[in-house]
Amino acid sequence: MNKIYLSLILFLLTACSYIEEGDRLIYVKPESARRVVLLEDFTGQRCVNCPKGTEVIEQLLQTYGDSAVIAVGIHGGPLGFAGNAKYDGLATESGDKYFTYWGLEYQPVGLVNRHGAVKYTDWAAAVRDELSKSAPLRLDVDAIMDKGQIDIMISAYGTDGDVTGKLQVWLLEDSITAMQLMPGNVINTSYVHNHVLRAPINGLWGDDFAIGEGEQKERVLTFQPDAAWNPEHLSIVAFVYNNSGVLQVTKGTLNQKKYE
Amino acid sequence: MNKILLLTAFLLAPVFAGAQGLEFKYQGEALEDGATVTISAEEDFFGEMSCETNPSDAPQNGLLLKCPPLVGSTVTAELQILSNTLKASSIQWCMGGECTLVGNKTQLEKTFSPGPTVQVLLDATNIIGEGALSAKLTVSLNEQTKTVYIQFVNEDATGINNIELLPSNHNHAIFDLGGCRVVNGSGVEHKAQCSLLNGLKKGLYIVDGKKILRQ
Repeated sequence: MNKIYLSLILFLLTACSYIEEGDRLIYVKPESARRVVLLEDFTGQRCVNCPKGTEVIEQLLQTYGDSAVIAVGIHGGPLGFAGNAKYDGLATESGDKYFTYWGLEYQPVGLVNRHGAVKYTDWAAAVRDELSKSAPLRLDVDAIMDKGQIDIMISAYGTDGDVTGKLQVWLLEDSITAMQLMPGNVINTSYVHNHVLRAPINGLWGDDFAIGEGEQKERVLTFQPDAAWNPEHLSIVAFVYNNSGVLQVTKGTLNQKKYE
Repeated sequence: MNKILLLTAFLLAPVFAGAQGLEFKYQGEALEDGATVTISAEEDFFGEMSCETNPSDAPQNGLLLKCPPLVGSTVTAELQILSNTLKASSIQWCMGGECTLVGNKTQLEKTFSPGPTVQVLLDATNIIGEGALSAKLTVSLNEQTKTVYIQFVNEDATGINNIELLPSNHNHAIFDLGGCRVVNGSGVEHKAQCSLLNGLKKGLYIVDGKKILRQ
């Protein structure tokens, strides 16, 4: 019996070894975030080939889903139509400024996670490349419409290293019926425009943003949309970018009342 | 012998086809090499003044390039902007399914595989005020080269551009903007129906077809 007790004591003594104090906590890195791709489509109602670009976007959304690829139609530039007394236009001053800033020379042309101008025929390959990368943060957006005002909450969680850049929030509208010049110079008065950039919510270039690995941040914004825009078709796109491009992007519709 | 003839015919076919096929057409009419197509600005569907080589989608409408039925050939097209005083918000050139914004460039090139008919889309849109654009389009296919000159003109009488100052020793007939001659070629003879009194007031006048500002 004594032998059994002795063996048990010996076993317990040898089973435990001394661990240095600094090694007792093991850091567990956050789960890596899947990179969502932002495709900025610089388009215009006077641009005959722009509907071809839209077709490429629709194929990409079918292939990867709208949670993996987020397209934004930025109307502006020389072939944008701002509207006149007779017809509604979708081009905005912001769209013109973005077009000019990026030094674009033709339309349709896109920015895929802001890594330079990409011709619409090359969008699929550029999107595929970006989807294979991981992202240094996760982003989520919730938004509700209340008494004509949009309340927006952006949630961010750092997953890989420290990130500094800008947080940009945009308001988009889908299902806008407006004229479009089509290939062959055909006018289509009942063309349905989707994911149209209506307005930047926090300025043309967004706000300063920084987040560390494992850190959680939230930001609340409010915005008064134009009464002519259909609230049922509005959505919010939020993304973080810096000089190395767009690091992460998310999109949320307005009617999903996820918080009060 | 038959094989040699067949081979010869096969080798020469592109040459003959090319000689027969490559040409510009405007509104269905064949254009001579070096011809000029002049297009005046008109209100377009967007409600703005525009000059367009192909203002509608009718197959024979506008400026077309007819190509010979060659497989595997490429057309080289070069657009040269010779002069441009047209105040258009955009000028776009499309050929072979590709579009380019002209912007400040004066020389543009495209290479593409031809179909039997290629639309030549040169559009100057949202034109404000008077002006003109002159462009030279040259296409090459299998050592054939064809040229067409395109002129866009907006003679908007309501536009006020290129104002010049009235010289003090002026000796030509002067008209006001209502069309009244207020000064003849030799002095200060006023027409009774014109409202001006004792010499010219400050304002805009038409002198030798130009708008002149009297300060």
